[in-house]
Amino acid sequence: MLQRNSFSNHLLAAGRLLFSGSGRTTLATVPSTPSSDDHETVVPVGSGEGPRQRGEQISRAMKVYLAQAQAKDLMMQKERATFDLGKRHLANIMGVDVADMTQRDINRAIQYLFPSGLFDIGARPVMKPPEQLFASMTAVKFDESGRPIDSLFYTLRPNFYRLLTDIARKTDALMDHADQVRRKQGSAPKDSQIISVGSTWVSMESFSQILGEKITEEMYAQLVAALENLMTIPFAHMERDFIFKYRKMLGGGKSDGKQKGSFLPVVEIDATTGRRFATAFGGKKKTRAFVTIHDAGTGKYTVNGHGIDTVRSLQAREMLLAPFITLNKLGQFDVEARTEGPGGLSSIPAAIRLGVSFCLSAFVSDVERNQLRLAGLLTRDPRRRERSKVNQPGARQKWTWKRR
Amino acid sequence: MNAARRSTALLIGASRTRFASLRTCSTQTLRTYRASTNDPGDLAISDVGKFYEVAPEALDHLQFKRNLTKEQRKQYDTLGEYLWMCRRPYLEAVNCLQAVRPSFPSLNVVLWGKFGTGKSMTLFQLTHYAYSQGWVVLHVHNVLKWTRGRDEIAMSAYKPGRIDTPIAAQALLSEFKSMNTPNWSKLSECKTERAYEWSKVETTAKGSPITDIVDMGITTPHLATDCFGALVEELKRHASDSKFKLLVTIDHGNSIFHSTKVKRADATYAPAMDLSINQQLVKFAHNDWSNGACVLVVDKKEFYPSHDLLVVPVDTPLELLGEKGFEVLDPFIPIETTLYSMDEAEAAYSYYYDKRWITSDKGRSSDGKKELLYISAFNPYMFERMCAIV
Repeated sequence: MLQRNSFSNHLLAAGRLLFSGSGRTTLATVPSTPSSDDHETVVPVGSGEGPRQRGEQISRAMKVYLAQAQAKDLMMQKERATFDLGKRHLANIMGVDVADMTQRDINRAIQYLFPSGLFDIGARPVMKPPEQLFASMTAVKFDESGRPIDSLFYTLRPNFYRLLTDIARKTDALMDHADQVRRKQGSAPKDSQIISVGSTWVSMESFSQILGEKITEEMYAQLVAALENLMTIPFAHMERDFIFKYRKMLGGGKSDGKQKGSFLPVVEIDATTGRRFATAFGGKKKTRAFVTIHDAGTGKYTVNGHGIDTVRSLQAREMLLAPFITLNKLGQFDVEARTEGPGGLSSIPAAIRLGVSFCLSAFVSDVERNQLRLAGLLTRDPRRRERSKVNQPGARQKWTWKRR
Repeated sequence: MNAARRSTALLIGASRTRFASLRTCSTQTLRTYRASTNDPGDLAISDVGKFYEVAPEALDHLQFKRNLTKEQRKQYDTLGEYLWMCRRPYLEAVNCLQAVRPSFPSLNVVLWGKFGTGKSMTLFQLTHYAYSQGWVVLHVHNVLKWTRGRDEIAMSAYKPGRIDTPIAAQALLSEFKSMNTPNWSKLSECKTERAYEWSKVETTAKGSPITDIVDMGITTPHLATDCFGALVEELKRHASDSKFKLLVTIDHGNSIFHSTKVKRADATYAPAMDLSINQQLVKFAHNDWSNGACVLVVDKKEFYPSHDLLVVPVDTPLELLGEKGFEVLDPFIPIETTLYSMDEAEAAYSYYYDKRWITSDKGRSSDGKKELLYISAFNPYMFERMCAIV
């Protein structure tokens, strides 16, 4: 899996030069050897003499496991040594002190020494410490009799069941807290809800990666149900960080509300009118649009100060209103859009449409936001004008061939 | 066009049969969009946003069918009736016309507004109003017809340097005759002030009916421009003498004051005021006469090509008239035509719904209605177009 390409032999020998493309490490639950400091010791494999004790039976079962763990440990030591040596070589080539060499310097050196034009970033050469490249090992600890200390060991999915238990405990704790507050106040506790708009639960595969265990669809459904329940009870915001470890932002964003390339707009309240509004940016090619929408409106829509009746192209008007048509919310919001840059009857409406969709997504429910996403309204059109080439009349067009 | 077709395909849905489920229109829906009266003089502010029916005979006299746009013609041919919406600009203009009397100098009214909001339609309505009130009507359908230099021209015999447009003048005269059919006997009682010598052969004696001038112009095209000039003078004089009330309506009126594509002998373009017919029409805008009004539409067509969908045109009278035109018309009453209000749009929708001008099930649903209203941006022209294709 790791050495897919004999790219540079001397570096391979020195440090582990990897093509991490498809070599994304899957988390194999290979346990590491328990360290010598541990109180729990592993009973050595039975010598075959004397009465067979219970501990001996278990240690026989663990024979393979121990051998694997030892091999893995050795391999890691070797990898570490080759990495350090490679790092030294690199420092030498690049003319820097090895003590000052950070991972960032290594990356830059690799990029410089092995320039790769491969499209997939994952397919380009990398050199990273073995701990990052190989599966992290979950240490299983055993007591003197060779039994696993983790009570969930025999569930075969200890991390999954531990997470479920955690969720249950947190749920109970929050319920108790709510009860206490209710007793103190004498009324139902008022509490701010967790805003789930704009994010969704991580996929089953991601859960598997986080837990380091393979989980089935039923288990995934169980987890989601438990987390959903936790999110909806009062004071759930106290466990927001815990919950959002398992949520991802829609549109490829991060859990802090940031989106890839742009932000999920924040809904604010206009101090004078008391109406809610959101502002967002939209773009297409080199056209930029700055959009503000107010709710509780009458469907007033202005582009650079002009009403959209001045847009005489039906297609353009339909583009401008597409987010509202999709969600059946025509006439409920007022839109003000300002555009900058070049653009015509297609680019300008497309840029505004993206801004409007972003703004609108801040006002609507999770389901409706998903509708916008599925309609492709939250995705920026990535296409750009292709440059024209030398000795050609256009980007692709060639001069007419003529014999003389 | 492809784009329009594609986008409306969403609305059209599966069923496209026009008479799939004909229903008789209920009295309730009728009440929502029909005005209290069909008399254009009796329409009141409560009728704003309602439709009134116009008799086909009146429109035949007014040459309405000839002046319709292609889209309007299709609609009226299909529906078989002429229903016009009473809108606020119309009532405002009628209010002005009601002030016309012999003791007041003539009024200048300028209709202006955005594309498709009904400037020309309001002009038609005013012509029809004047016609129904027994006024003498002179309607100029399109000034651009002669300023764009498509027709043949002749050098004026009346004044050197002036350019005659015989075809346009003849058309105007015959239209005038047709429009004033009910008043023709009244007009023939009006006598000419002086003798006109059109050419060595053709003359009109002093004291002959002014209809003779019209007939002379219609039968002899090369004299039509001069005849029209004489008619203008005579009409102004007789209107001031309280023989009749006179309404002059000019569409694309601002083009009177701007450039032309008419070429002179030295291959340069003639300025607008070199055209005799423009000179004659401008005389209606001078308020040296009374008992009449001159209504002009100022349109952006003079400056902007109609196929340019990107540029946001300027609509205001000062910009469209230019300083010269503004000075000539001043003082005038500007009346702005506007987009549909919600009530007006609803009435228009229920009319088109009742008449099955909107055929598809999607367009006839409440969601479809909303889409039609907002995608057309409450623009009357665009709304009608969308209703016609869904």
